[in-house]
Amino acid sequence: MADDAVIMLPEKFDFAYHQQFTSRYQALLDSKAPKVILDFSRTQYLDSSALGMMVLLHKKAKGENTITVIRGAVGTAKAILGIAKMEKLYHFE
Amino acid sequence: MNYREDDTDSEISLKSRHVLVIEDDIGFNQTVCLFLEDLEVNTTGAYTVAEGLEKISNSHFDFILLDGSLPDGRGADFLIGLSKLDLVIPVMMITAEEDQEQMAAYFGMGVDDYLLKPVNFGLIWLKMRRLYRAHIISIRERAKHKKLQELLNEKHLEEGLGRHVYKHLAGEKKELDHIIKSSMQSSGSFNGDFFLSLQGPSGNTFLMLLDATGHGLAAAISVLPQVAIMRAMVEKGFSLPNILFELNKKFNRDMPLDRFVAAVLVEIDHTLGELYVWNGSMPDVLILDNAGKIIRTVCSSHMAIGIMEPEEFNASLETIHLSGGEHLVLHSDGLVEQIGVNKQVFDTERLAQTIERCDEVGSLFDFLLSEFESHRGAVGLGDDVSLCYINLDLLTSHIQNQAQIKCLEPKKQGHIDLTVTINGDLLAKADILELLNSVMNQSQVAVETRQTGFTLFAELVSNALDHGVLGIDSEIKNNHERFIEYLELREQRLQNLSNSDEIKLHFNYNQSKGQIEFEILDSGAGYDPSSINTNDETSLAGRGLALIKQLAHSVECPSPGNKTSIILNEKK
Repeated sequence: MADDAVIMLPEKFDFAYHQQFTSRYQALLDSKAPKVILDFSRTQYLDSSALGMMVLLHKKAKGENTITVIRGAVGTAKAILGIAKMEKLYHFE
Repeated sequence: MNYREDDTDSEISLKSRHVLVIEDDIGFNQTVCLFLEDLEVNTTGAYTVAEGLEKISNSHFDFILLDGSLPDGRGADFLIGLSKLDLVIPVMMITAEEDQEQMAAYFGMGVDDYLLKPVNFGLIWLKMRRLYRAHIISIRERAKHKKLQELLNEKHLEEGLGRHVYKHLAGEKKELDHIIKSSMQSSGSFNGDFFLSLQGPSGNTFLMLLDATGHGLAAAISVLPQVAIMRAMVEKGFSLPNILFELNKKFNRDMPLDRFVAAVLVEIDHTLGELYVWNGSMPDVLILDNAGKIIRTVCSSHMAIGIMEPEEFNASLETIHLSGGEHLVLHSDGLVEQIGVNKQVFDTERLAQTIERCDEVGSLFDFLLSEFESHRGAVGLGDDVSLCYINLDLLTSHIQNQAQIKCLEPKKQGHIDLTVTINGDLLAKADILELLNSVMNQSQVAVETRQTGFTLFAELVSNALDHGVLGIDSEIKNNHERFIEYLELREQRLQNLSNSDEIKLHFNYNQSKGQIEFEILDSGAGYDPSSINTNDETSLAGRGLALIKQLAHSVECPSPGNKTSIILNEKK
């Protein structure tokens, strides 16, 4: 599905993914994608820096009028996203 | 006449073979030998029965020319002696006898052909060649037959092994027979379809129906690792997407490109009353209400397992809220592609109509099978055919009963306590999180708790190291514009660790309480946690601390703030 701007997140979404994450979403924002989807379906673990990156992505996306979406989060990842109140910044699919 | 052989197959040629000529007429014997020698055949002459038997016992011969009457006996005496030696050599008689009964008896004793004297040498040669060729071909046929028998035996043994493994892997559960029903019919000697139902540690039920490319053992080779991975991961409490990623990754890595497995994977959360379905290139999954009406179908929305590269693979699931009384029907394409006696296909529409015609949903499975059988009559199966039926209400009450029985079982009693101190360079090199994860794994901590624990420990260890030991201002770490600065600073300070730089961990797991106590102490100066505002969702600062507070049962960080103690309770 080429028209969907999806970022497939890794099993561990933490600092180590920062650079890749930033360059991917920057490319999507530059291409004026109407929405950016973060696919958590394979993510087993995310830490606070991942949440930080998500907040930053949201801030930048908002400036471009791009909607941010969370897809496929389960288990601990879903719980952490809930705890972090990410539903205030992201649409849950 | 040209007697030269034109055979390209040297094995069936008499050239360079060794022929024994048993003939008491010295002149005739030598003439025959010379004639054959001229055709590049090796010869040895013998003049009596005894001499013939002696030569054949001591040397190898490929062909025997035998006279019917010799000074010390008849041709028959030689043939009796020959049969005792257990040699298979073509024998042609050259005899003056015209007694047909005697000739018939010779044939019975193993003679392959005969010629009457006086003989035409050209005819001797033609007959010898033909006999020898037939002899070699028959030896080859026997060898081929033997090889074929061996292969068939081997195949039979392998299939037996496969069937055993299949049966073992499926782990049939008799008590669920009336709740989860499955029929697997194989079009070949072996099935490429496989159905498995498992229960995870959280009480969720997992179902998997596979349809591998090909048939027989080739298909089994695709199926077996999938089943093994599924079994192991369900047992450890992994979620369906995690399992799917693993199945796809391993298959993609280990199997040839032209192999893949179409699959339906289902997870049933009995507590939430939810059904999660992943359909990769299988026919529609059918969900029926209690009246047997199809209320929902989940069509394939993914490629089969093994095709996509791990980073492209999509494990997103279809979620279905159950309102009670539902039934689930899974099947492979073999069912809806089967040609019937009327030359028509038992297609999806016919399947839906058959389901509609069934009066009692409880007997749907047997009804479908018998309708399928009468459709196909004596027509052979075109493909492996599998049909699975699950009564979701009965399954849920079965699982809940089981959980109640489990509650009455005596509680687990184990206990593990561990203190670890890491200092100096090892702070930069040792994977502290992996260490803690493996301790939790070995302590049989439930997967969900382990994942929460991992998240907590990751935050605590990174705080202790970055802010405590390395003294990096949290402002730099939390400001993504300054991320590179943070990384450089971290790298630089990690290079200059001394033995007074230290992190001390205390891990305690109490199985009966279902509780993990964890304490982390760093050699840093400490900080005041109350200075961080954790209430602002859009702020980057304090996110880690907020997470810790939410995930842990209790958090303590006494002054000067270089020690944090948490308690994590296992989910009941």
